[in-house]
Amino acid sequence: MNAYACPRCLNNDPFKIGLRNGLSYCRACIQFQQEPWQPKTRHPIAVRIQLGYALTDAQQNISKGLINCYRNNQSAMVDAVTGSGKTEIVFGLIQIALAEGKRIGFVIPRKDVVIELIPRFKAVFPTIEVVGVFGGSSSILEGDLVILTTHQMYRYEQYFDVLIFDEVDAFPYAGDPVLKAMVKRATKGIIIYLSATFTRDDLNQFKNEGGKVFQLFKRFHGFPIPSLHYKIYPFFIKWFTIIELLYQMNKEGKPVFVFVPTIAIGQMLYRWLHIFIKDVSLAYSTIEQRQSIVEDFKKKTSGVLITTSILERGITMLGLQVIIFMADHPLYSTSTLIQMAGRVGRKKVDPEGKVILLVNKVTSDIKAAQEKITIANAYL
Amino acid sequence: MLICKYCFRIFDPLHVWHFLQRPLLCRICYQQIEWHHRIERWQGIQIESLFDYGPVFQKMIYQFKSNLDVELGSVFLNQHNTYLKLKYFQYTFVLAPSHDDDLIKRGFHPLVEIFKAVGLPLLILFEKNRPYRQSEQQGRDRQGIQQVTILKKSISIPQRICLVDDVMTTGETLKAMIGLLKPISFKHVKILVLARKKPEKIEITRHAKNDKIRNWKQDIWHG
Repeated sequence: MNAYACPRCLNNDPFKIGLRNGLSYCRACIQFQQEPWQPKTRHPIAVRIQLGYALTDAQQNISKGLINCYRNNQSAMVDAVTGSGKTEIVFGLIQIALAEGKRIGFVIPRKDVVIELIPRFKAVFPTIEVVGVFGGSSSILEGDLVILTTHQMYRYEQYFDVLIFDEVDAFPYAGDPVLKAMVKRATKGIIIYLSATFTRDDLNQFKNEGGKVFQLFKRFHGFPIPSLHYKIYPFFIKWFTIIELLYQMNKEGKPVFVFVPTIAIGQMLYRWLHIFIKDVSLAYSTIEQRQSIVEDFKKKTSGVLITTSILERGITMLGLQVIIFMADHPLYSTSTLIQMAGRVGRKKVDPEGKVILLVNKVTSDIKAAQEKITIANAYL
Repeated sequence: MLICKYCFRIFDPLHVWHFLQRPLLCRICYQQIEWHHRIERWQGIQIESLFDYGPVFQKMIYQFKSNLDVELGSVFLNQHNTYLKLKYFQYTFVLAPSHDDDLIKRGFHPLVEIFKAVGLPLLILFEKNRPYRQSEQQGRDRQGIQQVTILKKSISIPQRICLVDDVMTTGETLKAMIGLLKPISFKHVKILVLARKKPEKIEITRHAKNDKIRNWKQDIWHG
């Protein structure tokens, strides 16, 4: 029996434990090492929220509920559909916690979403120092509000009084026990979990642990979530069908996201579509200039962006349409499909759009995603 | 069933060779560290390198040397042990210098951990007279290694030696070692490094390529 358990990440898997000079050490969290540092003392700051619009009644109720949870030192979970304004719900809580001089963190598993959120928070809270901590930008660790990726949580120990955790079920956090341990280690107060794709088990387990659950099934503009339209085209036929679909969408003058399951398929599709369509770009995790590619695409009013699941969350664009290529791929889970569909119709000006799935066959994940969207839309 | 020493992924042996030499890295990790076998002449000596100094190799060697993950030491040469043992038979591996303070701090000698699995004699012939990290130096400052490296006294040098290092970027460390060995006479010397800086790619655009072909055709036509 192996008696060693890592004091930082609680790992006791013998395959992840090494032996150095006769002593055991943890190999699971060895990459997450930070020199000890002394946090600064925080002082209360009175901040003003600069939001150009008012929250809906449902949003306000949950916002008040979260503030009550904060007062009662109780963690909470917000299960709200995509495009319901989850981020706006926590602004009130941030304002109150800052006024009491608390340390606040906003954590998301995806680096792209962190980069997207920083200017958004700076615009809402113009008088505070918003600091982004992610791979490639980790020199400043402290600020009034820290927005960071889960991979950077190891830099903090018993630090955050309030931690807002968005997209809890996203890769790479989901299913990684080391990251989970790092999040717990960094927090000394409450955690507010936000997602659009919690499972029933997640919610029940959280309730049993003494947490408070809030649910919101309505998008902030009151329009339904676009339903999934799947088109069954076997083998190579979908490679031709996608050209026709993109021509139609381009005629409407709207930008299109084409989600692909793997980088290799993305590269093949890019080469193929480039022959027929002028305005095609490709973004995936290992491409160096992906940030500039995404930013350039956002400035456009039309065009096609082929992407992997890196852009499935946290991206908002006017008039965006979505095609999920090979949506029956085993890499696509129910939550991934819901999140991808959720990119469509997020703006009040253009609340409708198309979500087309090109498949060989309809999988159980596609059916489950469709069912979940139908249930959410039934609450309208 | 095997477990990758780097990513902890479970994998199966894929090649017949894997049943004889148990792999320590899964196929994905092994591909990512960019195996690139090169044998060239450098400073008049044969130099052999096994990997390109790419981002994943960089991460791996950092985890091994700076995060003190000693278990990773065995993964780099795992698939090359037999080849190296046959090729460098009768040679002694002379390790690149390290400062004693660094070794005490680490608790292990990184090059010993990497090369001990080959099964050839290892010799620590050089040392640094002060703590000095080549990886922290930039450009011409890297030549400072020549003042820092010294030869250990009262050690007999074998006739066939192979200078070994983990990473070669500008080659200043190896130059310093060669410089110190010049006054001493011995039969054979070779160099073995784990990873070398990637050779720079010269990209030829389609137009440039067409021009080149046109020029060739013209040359042939006009004799």
